[in-house]
Amino acid sequence: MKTNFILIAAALALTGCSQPSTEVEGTSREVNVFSARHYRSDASIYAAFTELTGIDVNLIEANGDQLIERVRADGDRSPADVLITVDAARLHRAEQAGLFAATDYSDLVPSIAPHLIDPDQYWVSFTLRARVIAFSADRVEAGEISTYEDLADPRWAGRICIRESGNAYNQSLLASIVARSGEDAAEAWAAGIVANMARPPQGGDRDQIKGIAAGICDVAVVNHYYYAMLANSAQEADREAAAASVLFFPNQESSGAHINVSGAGIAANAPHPEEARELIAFLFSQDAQRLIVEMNNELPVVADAEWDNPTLQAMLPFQEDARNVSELGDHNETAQRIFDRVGWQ
Amino acid sequence: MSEAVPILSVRDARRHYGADKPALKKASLDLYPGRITALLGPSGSGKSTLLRSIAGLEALDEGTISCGETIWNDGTSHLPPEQRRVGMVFQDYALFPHLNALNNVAFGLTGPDKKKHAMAQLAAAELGHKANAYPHELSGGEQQRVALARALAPSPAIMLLDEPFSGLDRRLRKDLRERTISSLRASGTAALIVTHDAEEAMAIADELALMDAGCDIQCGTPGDVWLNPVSALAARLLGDVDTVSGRVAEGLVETPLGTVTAKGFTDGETVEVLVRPNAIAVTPDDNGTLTITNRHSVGAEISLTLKDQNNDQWHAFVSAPSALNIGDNVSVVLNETFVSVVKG
Amino acid sequence: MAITSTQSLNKKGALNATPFAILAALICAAPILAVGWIALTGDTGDYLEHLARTRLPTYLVNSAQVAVFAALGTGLLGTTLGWLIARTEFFGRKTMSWVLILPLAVPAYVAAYAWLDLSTAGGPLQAVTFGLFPTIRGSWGAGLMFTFVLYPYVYLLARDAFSSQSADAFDAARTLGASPLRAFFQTSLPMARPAIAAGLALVMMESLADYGAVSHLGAPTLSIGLIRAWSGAGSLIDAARLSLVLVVIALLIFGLERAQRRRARSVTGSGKHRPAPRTDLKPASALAALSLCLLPLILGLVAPMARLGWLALKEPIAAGLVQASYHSLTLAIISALIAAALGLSTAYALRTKTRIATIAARAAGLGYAVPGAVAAVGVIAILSGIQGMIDPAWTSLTGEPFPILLTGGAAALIFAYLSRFAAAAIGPSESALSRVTPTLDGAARTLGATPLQTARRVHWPLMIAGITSAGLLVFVEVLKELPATMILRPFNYDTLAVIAHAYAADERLGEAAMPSLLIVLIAILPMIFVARYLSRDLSGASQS
Repeated sequence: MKTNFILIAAALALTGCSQPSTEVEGTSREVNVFSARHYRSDASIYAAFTELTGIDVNLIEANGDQLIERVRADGDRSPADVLITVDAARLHRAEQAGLFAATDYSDLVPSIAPHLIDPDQYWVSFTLRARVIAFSADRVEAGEISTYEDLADPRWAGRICIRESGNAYNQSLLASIVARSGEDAAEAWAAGIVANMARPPQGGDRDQIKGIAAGICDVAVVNHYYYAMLANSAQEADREAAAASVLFFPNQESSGAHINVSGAGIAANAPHPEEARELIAFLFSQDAQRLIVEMNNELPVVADAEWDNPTLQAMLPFQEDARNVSELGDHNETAQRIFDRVGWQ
Repeated sequence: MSEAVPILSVRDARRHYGADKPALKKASLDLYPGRITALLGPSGSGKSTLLRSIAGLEALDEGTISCGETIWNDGTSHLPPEQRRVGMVFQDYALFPHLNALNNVAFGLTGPDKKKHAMAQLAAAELGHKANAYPHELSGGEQQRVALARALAPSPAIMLLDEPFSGLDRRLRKDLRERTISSLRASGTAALIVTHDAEEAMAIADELALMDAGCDIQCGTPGDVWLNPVSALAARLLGDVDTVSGRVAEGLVETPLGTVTAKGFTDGETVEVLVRPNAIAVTPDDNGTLTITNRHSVGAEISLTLKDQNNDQWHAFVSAPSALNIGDNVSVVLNETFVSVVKG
Repeated sequence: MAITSTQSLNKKGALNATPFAILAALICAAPILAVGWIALTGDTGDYLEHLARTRLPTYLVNSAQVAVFAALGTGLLGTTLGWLIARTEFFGRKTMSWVLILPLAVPAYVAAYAWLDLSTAGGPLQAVTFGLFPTIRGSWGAGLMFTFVLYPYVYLLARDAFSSQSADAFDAARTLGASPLRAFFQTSLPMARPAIAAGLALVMMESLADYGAVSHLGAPTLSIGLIRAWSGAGSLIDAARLSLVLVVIALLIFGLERAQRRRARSVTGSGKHRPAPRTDLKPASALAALSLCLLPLILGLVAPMARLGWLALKEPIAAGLVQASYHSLTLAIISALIAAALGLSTAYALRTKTRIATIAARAAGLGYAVPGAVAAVGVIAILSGIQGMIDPAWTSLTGEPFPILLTGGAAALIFAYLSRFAAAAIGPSESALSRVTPTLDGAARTLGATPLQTARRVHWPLMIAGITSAGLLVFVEVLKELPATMILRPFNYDTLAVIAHAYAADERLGEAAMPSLLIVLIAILPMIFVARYLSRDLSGASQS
């Protein structure tokens, strides 16, 4: 069994490899990022950051909840400097788990709208995505639908495509309705949607748009950038699908379109807090915001950022929901339970 | 001695695997109801192939097999085994390991009474108390008896047994042999037993068929075949024999042991003289032409190895005890009953 | 070929791997036990109650449907193919014999990505059939995917069982009046049942533990519910409790498989027997057989690869694939080697038939039935616990913080892999070792070989096929593994599976295509080698 021991020793040696560094060395600075985003734009942003500041970015991209679990388990040994999540509810959960260190973000990024910053200053949002409605160009008249609440109306029975309830964006949408109208009304709304579904939830947002093109449904709820991605896709089938539907931003007369955010915060036990601040600040730079908009079709949070994206340009301006996005996290659990109760798969 | 009509006839069976590997070259055989035929031959003689062809588990390339009026095999057609009325006992018994003894025996039976009938078969084999045992719980002898009962249960017309006693120790073998033969006789089927053991073949068979290299070489009662082998090969299959060549002159042939009558041969023909050890009567003789080179006891007799003037070896028996020793000169007298002369 | 006596194995001098094996087994079981501990000792919220009123029945039904569909599909396909390859002869059979194993290289989630994309509304299959082709989704869709990629488990085991069975039993049945079909169903099939059952147990556990395919196809099983309890509701404790349900189901499956194997201890028969001869198929049947062999290859291997390849052509290649390939390979190779050693030593320990060895081996196999995420959670819990003990002790001794973060390195990930895949290594090793009978041991020992020499010179050649397949199975599993890798991997350490999933989950299937293809291509190369090795003609002798 000697071979076994050699192998085990080798495996243990591997533990030594890839160890996250927790020391600040004189010559090379670095920052450890745990991110739930996985876009090519982010790689470009980090590369630009490193080029500008000389700080190396060590990255782990993983599902938001799993990141939270890992950082929490590592406790004060956690090497995380910056935590980035792709939706508001996860930010909230990370905050609840005590993973963030409070930082004066209003000072760090003064131009950001207050509803995008955590009231307790644990985190800040650096991109926006709007969850909006797409309807069939042929089968639905413009103006026939204008609010989220309308979707629950029986006249849309069998005509709605929407993805599954496990998706964070749907959960936040429902959470915003809970915040706005209360739990009972939100449950009634969700039940109405379920009754109106053209098919059991399947696939992602782009599949819902394709569902409209295929004639399976007339209305879909999607994040705005998926629409833009289809419209700009290299595959002709995608572009045709996008062309078959029309996008609009609901609730413009009332609460504003529902928005969700990607947010970042400095980790509570960050070994490189200075570098973390620099990275977060960089996310709001002109370069970073432009990359986000042009490569991902997300919406910027910096009002005077310059970017070039015709598809996105055509969607603007719109009224956004001005409730602090931290409320999306507050009501996330309620939303999930509602989904469970109404049987939204 | 075939007064009855054969129930199974094989004619000129031929089977080969690959261009130069004939398993059966030209084999013919008849089986009679109620009679036990032993098929004896060395490994590779084709006896198992012939057996399996009769069972229908292998096809024939040429030749016919017919059972009564029904053609089982001819050059073109091949009746599948499940439609032939054969029962077969395999060398490894091939009991179904996932079924107990009762269900094994009942496998070939149909109808509502099959379990009862199977039980009766087991009881007849004195294995009724093992009806619920699984094959791996039975001893070798018990497995053989269950296999036999299973094959007999559907009352086949023909029973085929492939080296049915080979895996057992000597004492068990004898006992099992007797049981098997009595079961076979009781059933009245025609039985064909493949074996490579001459003693066993002669003990059980009514009819002996010798095979070598894919051909049947002789057929007859055991005694007849032993006494009158058609060739040295046939003789060797059944027991020890020493041979010498000679030339016929005036109906006789000369051998180092004496003169032998050669009936039915023309003068000048080359023949081979087959001499069983039992044919040689030994007497001590200082002037004898043969010398003892070896001796060992075989119980009531002593086996002697003799050397003649040509340095050829002969074997003989004398009753024990004997004063003969290695190195003694002896002279011999031949008993022609145990000597055969065949074509050289 | 089963071991029929144990006398010589316990005596002094026999190769005593038991303590090591037990330790290794316990290490594998530890993460699952940790999860069980969390489940049983955590605070009770009302989440499970809420779940029981709402989604739990759906989860249970879907899990059952997926497992049953997968078992039916793989059982039928694998058994039929196993019989065809083992007992008949037709053009192309020798090649098919090993090629049929290859779909094991395709992860179920990759097949799911490809087939959903192929069959979705507006996709190519529906375009060609005017909308008639059904979209592959739901539990039946997932069951279908598992059938396509998991049937090799059943095929391999059935094939080996059918070819090593006594052919005489089949022949005996025919002389007793059974048609070939009846002889198959009443003798060959029951005699192969233990092997087939073992394969089905593996299939069911893999399908229950799967996350990627069922989530993509919209079949919310218990695994999905478990992950949602953790990530959605944020309750690790409730997730741990749901894992216990999965573990219980796994124990049931294991237990049933063991029980029927014990009952049928000698079902395969013992003693010498003729190797089974092959039936030559007539041209029409031969064509049908060949088509049947090609079908799963096309569905499970060629079609997904073609579709993904087509998608990948249009997209730029994602960054970091070379490095990710390197990471995937490294993890897979190391895990495979350790797992093979583990399987070997556990098999030796099991040979002693002591109670503790059996319990340890079963415990080590628990990880197979739970999703990788659960194993990862357990690993995190254990390692943080150990870290929590070492840190203060080390600091008080040296004044410095302990240099290594246990959860930070690849070793934690390998720990999770071993916990997850131990069963895949132990099973084949155990069955391979069972071919080595005690008489062989005795013969070697009387010829003067020490236990170690016996192991090397007698056991090893006989077992090498089994140990190789154990190592191979783990290699491919680790290559395909997703959830544990996502959670536990170190910084800057992506694997191909992680990259593929990240893009697919974000609906960027085109960018997911290349890493998915790479996974299959890397897995296929060693798979070809070992598939051929496992399919080499062992009979040697010609007809007699």
